[in-house]
Amino acid sequence: MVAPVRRALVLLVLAAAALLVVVDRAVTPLTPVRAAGARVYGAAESAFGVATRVFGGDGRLRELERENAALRARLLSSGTRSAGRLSVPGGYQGVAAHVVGFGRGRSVAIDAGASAGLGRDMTVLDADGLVGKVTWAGPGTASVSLITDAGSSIGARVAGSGELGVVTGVPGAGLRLSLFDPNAPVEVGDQVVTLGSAGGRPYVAGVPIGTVTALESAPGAATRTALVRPAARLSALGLVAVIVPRPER
Amino acid sequence: MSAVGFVLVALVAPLAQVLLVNRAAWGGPDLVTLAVVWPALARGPVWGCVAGLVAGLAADVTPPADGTVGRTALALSLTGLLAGWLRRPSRATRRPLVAGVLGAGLGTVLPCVAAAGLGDEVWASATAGLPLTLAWTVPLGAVLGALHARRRPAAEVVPRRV
Repeated sequence: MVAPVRRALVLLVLAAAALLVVVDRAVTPLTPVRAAGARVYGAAESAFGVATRVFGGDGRLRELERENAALRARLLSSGTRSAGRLSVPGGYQGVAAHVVGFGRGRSVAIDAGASAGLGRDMTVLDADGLVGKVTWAGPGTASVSLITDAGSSIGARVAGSGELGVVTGVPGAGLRLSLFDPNAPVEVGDQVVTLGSAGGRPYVAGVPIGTVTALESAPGAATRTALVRPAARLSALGLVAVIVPRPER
Repeated sequence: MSAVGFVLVALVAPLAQVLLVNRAAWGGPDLVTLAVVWPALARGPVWGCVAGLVAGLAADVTPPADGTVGRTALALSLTGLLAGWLRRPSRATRRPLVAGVLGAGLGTVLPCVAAAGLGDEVWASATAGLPLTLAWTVPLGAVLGALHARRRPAAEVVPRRV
């Protein structure tokens, strides 16, 4: 009597899980389920983030002051007179967010979501450079895939020479730059910035990606490749900014 | 531990994973897998299967998860089922230990396989941190198995009503 009931229960559970996968993939995306989960778990993550920030208040304040000073110095040295001509292009606004949750190395959760205007494929950066892009925005949180994820690929430009290429993530080794021109001049220490896409999604133009640290030479290869160290502090992410299109008036 | 306790652990494990464990630079165990292996060892396959569904679904919707909903739920309910079957009472005292080790290993690998197989992540990305996570999770699975082996349940605990 008991065994058939147990078998039915097991089959029911497995069928339910399989049904979820099939429905989400093939029928209709289960956005309400995901949003509900993100609401509950995202709220918990944000609350935890607030608690830790309150706990370590003084140290964080000093860190932010230092960051603020560094940004101001860069702003002054860049020769930009008005704040309106900063790297946030016209028609966009920066939304500040904290990193509150960590996926397995390839993604993070931030405590700003659709209610702050965030959506899919928006640029995320910190004070030093490009962090990644928004892959999904829940009500109060958003998922950000990091540039070092093996699945990421970013249109890039070498700052000095203007050579074009693609930056991809290499698990465990940072980033790899592949230049379209196999004879392109590139040297260790060159800055790599984003090329930017139409509409600034997923990436706006001119954000520092990183610095070339080593050249890879493969004779006869169709592209020139080099290893790039990310400019952003991806291992110690805290405060980030999301470039959000300004709502139409 | 009561049924409510197991469900609570299964619901909280993904949150602890995302808030605390994944933050560490030197890697860490897969708490969600352990939260499934534990009821499977203590109560058998049905409990393992249900815990896998609950914990997996929670893990699928905990930010920054952004893949297919139900992906981890399916992988972990299979894991819980197998771990529960493996440890079923018998004369061999090593049985729970084997179930703990295999369950922990399977619960770590299967969700990654599912993520890559369903096309949510590329293979290189899904398997990037796998060896380190396995090195943390499998020994802890063995510890869970050893704990249950010592307790030696006399008979299969029959779920009263679910």
